[in-house]
Amino acid sequence: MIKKQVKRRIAEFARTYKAAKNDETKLLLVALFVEDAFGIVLSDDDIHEKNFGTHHAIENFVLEKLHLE
Amino acid sequence: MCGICGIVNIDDGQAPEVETLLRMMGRLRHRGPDSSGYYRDKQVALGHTRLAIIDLQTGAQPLSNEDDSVWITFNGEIFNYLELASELSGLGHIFKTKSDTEVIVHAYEQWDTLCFDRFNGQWALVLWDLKKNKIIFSRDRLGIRTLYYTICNNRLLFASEVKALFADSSVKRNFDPAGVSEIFTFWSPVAPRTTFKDIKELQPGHFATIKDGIIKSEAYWTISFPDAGAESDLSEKEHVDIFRKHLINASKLRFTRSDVPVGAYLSGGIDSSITSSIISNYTKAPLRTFSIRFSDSEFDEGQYQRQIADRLDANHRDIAVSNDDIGHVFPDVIWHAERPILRTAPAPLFLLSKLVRESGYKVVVTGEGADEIMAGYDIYREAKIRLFLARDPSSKKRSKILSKLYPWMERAPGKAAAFANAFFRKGLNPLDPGFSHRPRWDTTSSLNLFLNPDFRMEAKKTNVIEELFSNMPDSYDRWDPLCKAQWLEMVTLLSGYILSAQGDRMLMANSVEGRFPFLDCNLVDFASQLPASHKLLALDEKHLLKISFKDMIPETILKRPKQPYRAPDAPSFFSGSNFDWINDITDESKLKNADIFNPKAVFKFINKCRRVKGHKMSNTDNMRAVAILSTMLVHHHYIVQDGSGGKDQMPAEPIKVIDKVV
Repeated sequence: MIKKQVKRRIAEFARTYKAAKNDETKLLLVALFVEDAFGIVLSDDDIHEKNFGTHHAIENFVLEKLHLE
Repeated sequence: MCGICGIVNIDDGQAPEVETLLRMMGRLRHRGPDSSGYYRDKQVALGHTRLAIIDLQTGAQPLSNEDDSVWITFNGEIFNYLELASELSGLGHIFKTKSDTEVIVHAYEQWDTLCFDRFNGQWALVLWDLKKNKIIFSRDRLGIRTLYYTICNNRLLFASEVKALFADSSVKRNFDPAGVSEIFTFWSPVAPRTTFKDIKELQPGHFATIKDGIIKSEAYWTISFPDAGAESDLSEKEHVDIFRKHLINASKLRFTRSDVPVGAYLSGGIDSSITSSIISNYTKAPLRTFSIRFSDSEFDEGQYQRQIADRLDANHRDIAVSNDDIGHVFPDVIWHAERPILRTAPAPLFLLSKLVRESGYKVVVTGEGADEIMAGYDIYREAKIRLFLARDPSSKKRSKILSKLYPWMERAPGKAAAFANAFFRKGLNPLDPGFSHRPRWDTTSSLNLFLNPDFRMEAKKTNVIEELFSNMPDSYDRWDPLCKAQWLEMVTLLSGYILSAQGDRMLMANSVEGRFPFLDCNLVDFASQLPASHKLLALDEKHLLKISFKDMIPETILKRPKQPYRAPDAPSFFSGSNFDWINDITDESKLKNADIFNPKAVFKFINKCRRVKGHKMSNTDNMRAVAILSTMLVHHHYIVQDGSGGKDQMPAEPIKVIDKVV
């Protein structure tokens, strides 16, 4: 998957799901999406607001995990 | 839509008997109350009962090609028949009628069995090719229309419904334990197997040729998905544009290709709201809609139905269904369904089609198929969450996502966290080919505990799950987990239960044809290429469908939590009237004679149902009640009695007769 595709997928996700600030269940929904869409397996530590609290944070996190940053 | 039946001599015996054929046709009278007809020669008899929808004047069947060398009996619709007729006329074919039936005959002449690939429709048909001395059966891609057959005394008998095969008293009427086992696992028999021993069903997407007594079945289409990662790479917006175009075309085609008025079902959910909105927005015909209401508010979706009907300015009618209503019609429902069922959901649909017919309509467009092709069912969300749990079983955080499952259910996982955690963590093996459906199959299989030991042993001889796995396509392992779940759902449940027991049978019981835009072949092929996240985005089911039509649907309907269509189960039998039929079929001597269930276990269970009046029972116990009663009704209608439903009747007049024997 190339950087452009990753960004597009996250932008599409962002159009439906609001940011997951202060909401544990929403963080889990982001985690579900990230694992599904990008084949990344997350640890409990990864499922954190700093990584998934904003769409920009999700993008940075995924690009880093996929070594596309 | 109609009923078809017939007799094929496998050897050079006597010509098929007219009396038997007429009796078979009579048993299909509800499928074709407008007229009937038969063709007979020394080898073959083709019967037809007609529900006249296209070409009311000259479309009677059976009909033939120019030189009478190819004959057909056909149930269904070929929606692209006008385009095909134009192409075939250009190739020199001469048409005597304006019907889609004749298009099939010429298409077969032109393209042989490759013609089925060209049809966009819903069909079960039989062609008799005299020049090649060959019979051809064919069924639509997803199994909307049905076709059963059996071989008896060197004759092959076929029909739209099994009861017509049983019109020949020499056809044996016995349960197939493996067929019952499939129902008590998957909810439905999986073609070619049926509920009855030695009665076969042509598989969806197949055609079969019968020549010199040998039946050869072949797939012309199969449900398939791309390898994970090789799905269509277009953007969501691009997919929206294509999807919208396909669904609008599919809905228009199904609404306008008819010579009688077409109505629409409105469930209050997204799918039928969208198809009805398309009809309202893109056709000039007035919109007539029909809905089911429930006395029990847990099941009722009336406020949403009214909302969309008002918005579309539809001429709307609904029928209020009580628990007692379901109990009253249930024996008739099972006579039509011809198989045990595990939920009462078909019964209200039986009452709804009656309302449609009484309102002067005989065709309705419905939303069936959307949940299968666009991933709407809770089982897909459930599988996704279980896979999420399986990826890190030691996670302290992941279980909390279970609260997102089944919000409509009284005992939703969010309200019973410990139970849900234990239940959904069972058997978390992502390598299991049946991973998505394993909890359902395990729960359903508990029905087998009620079977008597002999029947159960017979049923166990066939491992129906392993058999299903052995029929998976080679590429199955390479698909996205969502696509695997979709395949399992379509193969086990769509044709045999959703489209047949709950669909075709409940509609045709009252002579009403259903049309399903979401099962348009172009739409299905397109949807299968979509990336999983465009169908189920995180847990947003039918994601692409919702964003494609958000301009046509009120936000309250678009954003309401998905509520599957359900009806009251055990309360329908035990909370109101004391139904004689229940006392009759659960009588100890009847249970013993039937030799299917353990009489003591059933007796104890039914007493429990009576004690609590069918209320506050678990999901599994509700299913058990429906399964036991429906199985005993099938036994009563089709094993004890002869399947006639009380009395045989003649097919509807006028009867078109082409008899080459007399």
